Amino acid sequence: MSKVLEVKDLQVSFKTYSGEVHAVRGVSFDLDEGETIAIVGESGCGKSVTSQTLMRLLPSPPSVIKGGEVLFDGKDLTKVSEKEMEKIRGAQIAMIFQDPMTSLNPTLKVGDQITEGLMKHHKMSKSDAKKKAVEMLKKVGIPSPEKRINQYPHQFSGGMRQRAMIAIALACAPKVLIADEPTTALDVTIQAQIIDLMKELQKDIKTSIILITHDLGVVADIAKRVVVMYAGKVVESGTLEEIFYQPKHPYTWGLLASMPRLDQTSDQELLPIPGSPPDLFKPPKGCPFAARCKHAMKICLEEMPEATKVSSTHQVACWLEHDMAPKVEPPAAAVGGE
Amino acid sequence: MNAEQTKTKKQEDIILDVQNLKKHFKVGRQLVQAVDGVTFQVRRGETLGLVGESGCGKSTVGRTLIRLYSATDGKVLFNDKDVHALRGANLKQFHRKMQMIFQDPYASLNPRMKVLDIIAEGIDIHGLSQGEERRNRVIELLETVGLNRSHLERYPHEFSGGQRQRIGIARALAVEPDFIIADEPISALDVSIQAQVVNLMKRLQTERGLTYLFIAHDLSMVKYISDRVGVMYLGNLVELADSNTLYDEPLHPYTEALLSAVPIPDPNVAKTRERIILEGDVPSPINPPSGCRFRTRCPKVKDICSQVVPEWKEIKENHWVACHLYS
Amino acid sequence: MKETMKLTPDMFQPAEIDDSAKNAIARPSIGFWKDVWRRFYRNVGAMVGLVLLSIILVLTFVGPSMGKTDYQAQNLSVQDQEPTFQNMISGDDYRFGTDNLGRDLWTRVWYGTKVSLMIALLAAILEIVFGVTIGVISGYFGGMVDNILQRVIEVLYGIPNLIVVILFLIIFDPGIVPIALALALTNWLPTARIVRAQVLKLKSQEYVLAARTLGSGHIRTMTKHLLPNIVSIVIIAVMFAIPSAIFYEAFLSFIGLGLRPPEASLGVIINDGAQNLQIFPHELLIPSVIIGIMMLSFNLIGDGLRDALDPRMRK
Repeated sequence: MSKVLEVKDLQVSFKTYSGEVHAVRGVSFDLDEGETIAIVGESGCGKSVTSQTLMRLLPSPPSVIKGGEVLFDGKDLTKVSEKEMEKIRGAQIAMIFQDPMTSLNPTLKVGDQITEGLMKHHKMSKSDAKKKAVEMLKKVGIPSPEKRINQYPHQFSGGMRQRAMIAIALACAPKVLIADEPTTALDVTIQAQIIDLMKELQKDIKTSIILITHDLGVVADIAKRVVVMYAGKVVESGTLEEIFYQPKHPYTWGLLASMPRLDQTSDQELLPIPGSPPDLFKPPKGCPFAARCKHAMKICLEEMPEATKVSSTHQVACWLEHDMAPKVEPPAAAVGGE
Repeated sequence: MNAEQTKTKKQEDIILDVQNLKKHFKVGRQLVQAVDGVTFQVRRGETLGLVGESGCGKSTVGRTLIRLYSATDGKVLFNDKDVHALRGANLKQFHRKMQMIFQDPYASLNPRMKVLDIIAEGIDIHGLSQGEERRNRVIELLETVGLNRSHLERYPHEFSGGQRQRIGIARALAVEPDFIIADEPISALDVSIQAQVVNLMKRLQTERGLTYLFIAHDLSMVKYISDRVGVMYLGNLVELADSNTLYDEPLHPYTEALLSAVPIPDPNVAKTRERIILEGDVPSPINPPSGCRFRTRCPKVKDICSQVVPEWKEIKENHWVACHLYS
Repeated sequence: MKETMKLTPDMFQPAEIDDSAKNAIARPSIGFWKDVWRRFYRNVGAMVGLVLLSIILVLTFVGPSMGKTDYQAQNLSVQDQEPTFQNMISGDDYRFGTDNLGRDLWTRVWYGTKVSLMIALLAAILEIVFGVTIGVISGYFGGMVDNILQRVIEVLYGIPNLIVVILFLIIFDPGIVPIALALALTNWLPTARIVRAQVLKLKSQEYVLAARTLGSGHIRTMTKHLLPNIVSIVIIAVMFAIPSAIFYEAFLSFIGLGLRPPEASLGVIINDGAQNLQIFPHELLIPSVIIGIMMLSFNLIGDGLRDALDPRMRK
C-alpha cells in the first residue's frame, strides 16, 4: 500500500512572552491509503497541534515549526507557500472539528458551505455543485437534503451539524481527512451514530483518516493503527491489536488501566496514573513520563529513549525495552480483557 | 426478616427522599420542563449515579436538591426535613450537611482567591475556626486530597485540572458534610486524571461515611463508582436499579440503547457486539412528546405510548422502571 | 542523531522519584497584580502614556510655583506676551507668555490642569460608585429588582445629558464638586450597564454557585466573589471615564457653564484663549496641547490595562 502522508520528526513550538512552549517535540508517523490511524493522548500532549500543523492552520507567530517535514503528494507541507496550501486545504486534506457549532459559518446556508469548496477546487458550476451538495447531505444521512441545503447551521441539531460538517469536509473527495475529536462534544447515542457514519463513509469513499481523540473506546471501534502521544512525543505506535493487547509503554498501560469498562464488574480497582503531565514550557530532559512512571529508572530521568521496534508495525520509546532493563509485567487491567 | 421489617429497615436508611420533583424554567414566554416529576431515594452511605444525555435534566435535579434552584413542585426530604421549607439556622445547618462538587475545574474556583481562602470559605461562613487553627484545618484538608501546604498561597490558575478538582473537593469537605452531590466531577478531566479523582472520592467515602449523588454522562465511570444507577431522559427518570443489574439486564429500551452505544476500549468486543443505534435527536423539553417522552426514538414503541404516561414503579425488588412494556 | 551516552547496568536501577514532586508546580507563583504589571510594563504605548501623564501630574504640583506670579494676578503692562523657547527653558520671563489680562499662562495652565484633573477624578470616582453599586445590585438580584432598575436607567438614558447638566449647574453654583457631580450624574449609566452584564455572566459561574451552596449570604457573595472579579473592567472603565470627564469639563467651561474666571481650569483657559485665537494663537494652543496629551495618555494607559487585565490572555 502506498503512503499518502508521512510526518518526519515534526517539531512545533509556541513563542509566548514568558518563554517557549515546546508543544510537539519530534513526532513521526505515516498514513497509508484508505487507512484510519488514531492519535491518542491527553490534552496538551500535542495531538491537536500536530494535526493543525499538517493543515498549517496555526497562526505564526506565535507558532513556529522548528523542524521536521510533512510529506504529502511529493511536497513538504511545512515549506510550501500559503497560496499552494490553500489549494491543498479542503481539496486534498480536509478537517472536521470537535465543536460543529463554531466550525460552521453561522451566516451561510449549509448548502452554500458545501458548494463553496466544490466551486473553488473543482471548478464546478453552481447548479452542479448544488446537486453534489444534496447528494453529500443524503450520504451523511441527513433527511430531506433538498430542504436542508437552504437552512442555516443553527437550524440543525448537534448531531446533524456534525454530519453537515462531515459532508462539507468530504465533498471535494480529499485524500486525507483529519478528524479532531469529532465525537467528544456529542452525546453517547449521537456519538454512536457518527462513528457508524464515519465507518460506512470510509468503505465508500476510501479517504484516509487521521482520528485525533482521547477516547480509547472510539479508537477501538474505528482505527487500524494507533499512535500514542505524551508530552509532545510519540511514546508508542502499533496496530490496534498491538496497542490494546500487547502494550509496551507504561503510559499506554496507564491509559488502559485507568479507565473503567462497561463490560466488566466494578470490583476491579482503577489504577490511576499519579501526578499530571509535565509543563512543556520546561520539558524534562529524559523521558517525559518518567516522573509519573512506576518503573522509572535512573536512565529515564537522564535521556529520552529512542524508538525501539517490537515488530514491523509496533514501535515503543521506553528504556524498559533495553536489554539491561529489568523485565516488567504490565498490570492485568491494561492487557485487554481477562 | 419478613417483608414488613425489610420495609421499615429501608426507610430508616434513607438520607434523601425525592418525591415527584419538578423544575420548570421560564425562558421568554416558553416553559422549559427541565425536570418533570422524578421520584427516588438515596440510602445513607451509598453512591447513587444519575446518568443521561445533555439536556435530560440530571444537573437540574442536583441543583434543585441543594437549593440552587427552587422547586416548581414536589418535595425533597433530607434527613426527613423538607429542604425547600428550611429557614434560618436550619438552612445554615443544611448547607453544612449537603455539599456539591462541580464540573468545570476552571470555573469552580474563584480566580482572585488563594487556595487557603477558597478551601476555608465554608469554615469562614459557618465560623468554624480562625487564625492558626483555620490554617491548620486547611492544610489537613489539602493533605486529605493529596496536595500539601506549599499550595496554600497559590492561585487557582497555577494548578492543573485534576489538582483544581481536588481543591474543589477539599472546599466541600471543609464543612464536614454527610451528603455530596458530584455534578459531572470528572467529565472535564483527562482519562488518567479521572481515575485519580474517582479513587479519591471512593476513599473519602469509606473514611468519612459519605453519601454521594454522582451525576455524569460517562456510563462506564458511573457504573464503576455507583451502587445504584438512575437513568434520565428528557426530564424523567426512566429506570433505576443496582448498577450491576442495570448494566446486565436493562429493562427500558432507552437504557438498552444507551448502554450499547458506549464505546468499549477493546477491539475484539467492538468488532463483535451488536449496537442499537437510536435514530434522530432528543426532542425539545419545551414541547415534549405526549405520553412516554422516549416514544419518538423508541425501537419498541406501541400505540399506548403516545397516549398514556408510563407509571414509575418497582417492577422487581429494587428495580424501578417507567415503561409500558412492563405494565 | 546525537551520540548516545555509555549505558551501564547501574543506570537501569529504579530511580528515586520524590513523590511530592508529582504535585509540585514548575512555574513560580506570580500574583495577579504582579502579572498584570509585567504585561503592562511591556506595552510600549501604555508606558509612554504613563510617563507623559506622570510628567503632567508632577507639573501640576510644582508648575504653579515655578511661574512668575500666581494664577489670578493680572499685570496689564504685559498683556498678550508671546512665549519664546528661551524663556520656556530659563524661566527668566513668562514661560508660556501671558493672556490678555497679563496673567502668567504657565501658572494658569498648570493650576487649571490640576483643577480639571480633580474634577475628572472626582467625577470618575462618583460615577464608578453609582454605576458599580446599581449594576451589581441589578445583575445579582435579577428579577423584579433588575427589571425596575433597568427601566429607570432606560428612562434616564432618554434625557439628554446636556439638559441635566445645565439644570444642575443653574441650581448649584458651578464649583469643583457640583461640576463633578453633574458629570457623574449623567455618566454612571453606561458603567452600570457594563457591570450588570458582567455580573449576570459571573453569577452563574460555578465558584459563585459553590459559595451559595456553602451558605454564603448576599453581601459576602457580592463582595468576595463578584466585586473582585469585575475590578478589571471597572479599572478600565475609570481609565476611559477620566479623559471623557476632562473633555466634558472643558466643554462646559467653554460654553460658559463651567468654572468662572478668575478661577482656572483647562476649559476656562481655552475659552479665554479662543477669543484671541487669530492674533495670539498660543493662548489657545498651549492648553489645547496639554488637554490633547492628557487624553492620549489616558487612552494609551486604558488600552494597555485592558490588554494586561484581559483574562483571555492569561495562561
